[in-house]
Amino acid sequence: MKVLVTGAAGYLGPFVAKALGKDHQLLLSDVKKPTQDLGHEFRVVDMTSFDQVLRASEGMDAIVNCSVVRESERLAFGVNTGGCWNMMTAAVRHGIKRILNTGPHFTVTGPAYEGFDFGMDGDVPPQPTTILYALTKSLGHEVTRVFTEHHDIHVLNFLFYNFRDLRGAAPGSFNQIKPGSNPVPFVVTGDDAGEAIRLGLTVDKAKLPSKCEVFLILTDMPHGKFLNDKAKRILGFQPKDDISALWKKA
Amino acid sequence: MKNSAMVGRPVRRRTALAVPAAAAAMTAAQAQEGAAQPKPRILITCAPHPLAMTLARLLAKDHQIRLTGPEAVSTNFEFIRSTLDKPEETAALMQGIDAVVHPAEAPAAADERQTLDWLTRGTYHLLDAASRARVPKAVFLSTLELMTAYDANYTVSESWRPRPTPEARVLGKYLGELVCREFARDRKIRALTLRLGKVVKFADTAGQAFDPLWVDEEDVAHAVARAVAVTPRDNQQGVGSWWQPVHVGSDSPKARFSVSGAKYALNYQPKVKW
Repeated sequence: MKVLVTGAAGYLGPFVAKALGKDHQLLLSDVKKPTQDLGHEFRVVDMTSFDQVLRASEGMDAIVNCSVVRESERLAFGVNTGGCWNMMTAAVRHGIKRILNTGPHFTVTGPAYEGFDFGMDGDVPPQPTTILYALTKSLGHEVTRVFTEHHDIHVLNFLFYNFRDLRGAAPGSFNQIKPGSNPVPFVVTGDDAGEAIRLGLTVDKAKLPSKCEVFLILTDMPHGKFLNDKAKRILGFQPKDDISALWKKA
Repeated sequence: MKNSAMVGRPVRRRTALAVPAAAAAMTAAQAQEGAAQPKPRILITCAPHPLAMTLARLLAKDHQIRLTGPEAVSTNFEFIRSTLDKPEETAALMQGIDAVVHPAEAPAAADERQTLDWLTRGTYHLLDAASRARVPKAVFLSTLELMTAYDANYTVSESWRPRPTPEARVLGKYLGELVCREFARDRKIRALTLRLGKVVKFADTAGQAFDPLWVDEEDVAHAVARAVAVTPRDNQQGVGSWWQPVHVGSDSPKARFSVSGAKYALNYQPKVKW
């Protein structure tokens, strides 16, 4: 399968490239070149430019959108919301049938959920609040949903919160495993996140309840606040990395 | 399919003491609303879009008008130029304002991408400035096109889920509604969303085939005036909530959508029936 990966130079992109690279032909893209060689073709693509997104997606079978801007009104709306509109419009033009879109947990389960509720699996009405990052990603999510209602495209929205890295995290970095650090109740390793994306790329669409689905991608955590049950049930996701040291007393 | 009975000269039904709809005080209780009160000062965005200019003209009798838009406009109303993306500039717009009226219409030259940006980022920026300035209310003008995907025989009301098309103009209105909803939820600004039909001037429809989405511009101005004026005490289940969409069309028997929700929430009383 030919797959365009946008936002490939960010945190998640290299893990996606690693997970997909063996079985798929990848075109990695971002506004800047990755600092490391990811071993695949790379092209500079600005998600705010429809022409660039259209050209990069030509000939592709699927798009994995890892692009994100957390600050700056103009760029956050341009990339997180307008970028989704560019991507979906390009997908329609090129007949691309599968999109994997990514975002933060509060695209859907914003503070009004996180502060109050437990047992969340992503199948709730979005309440991103007015946090720029959350709201612009949530609008992008809605853009993808609306397109699926009018076109033969399946969109799988993968939501993440905190990433940790068992292999290769710089000492002292945020992504390092710090035993007993009691993280937010929604953590996954980069490798497990990449594996979830790999599963989403090939899951039989007959298994998907609708053409636009949300999956929370986290490791097995005892908190019971956010759930990965849906990803397990539909995608066959099974996190492999043991990061339980994070919530065990050091 | 056109219904021949719908075609022909429309009938305008007005009360005996007809007054411009926007200025009409419909009940004694509403008349008291503004008694001995200074005229509300409203900010109308998106000048020189025709809807913005029409609202300014029709609302001027009972409101102090401040217009804003991305380009200079020749007008007798107070006008402050703003592209709705510079915090200091937008903050200045809010000084002394009681309500923001946002027609949410992109500049005429905007392409699809720019239209989407204007309707989302522009609305976000506007409401962010309004909430920071503690402006208590924003009136967002959306479109009934969000609801036309439903079967025309269904009794579609505000409690039905919007079904926008991916077209930037329509999708952008929907996304703008979501921005308002989140500001209402998060920042506690009262955000009323008026979903308008096709805004027309009654006189211009003579001889045209009836369009079930038509709504007269004076009735739209009346709805906006009511949205600005109404307070939670008027209707706890209506605009007592922080965010509420309301359908604003004509009250014609063959109108596509009922306006009973607007009547209930705003005491909307459209004058024109086709």
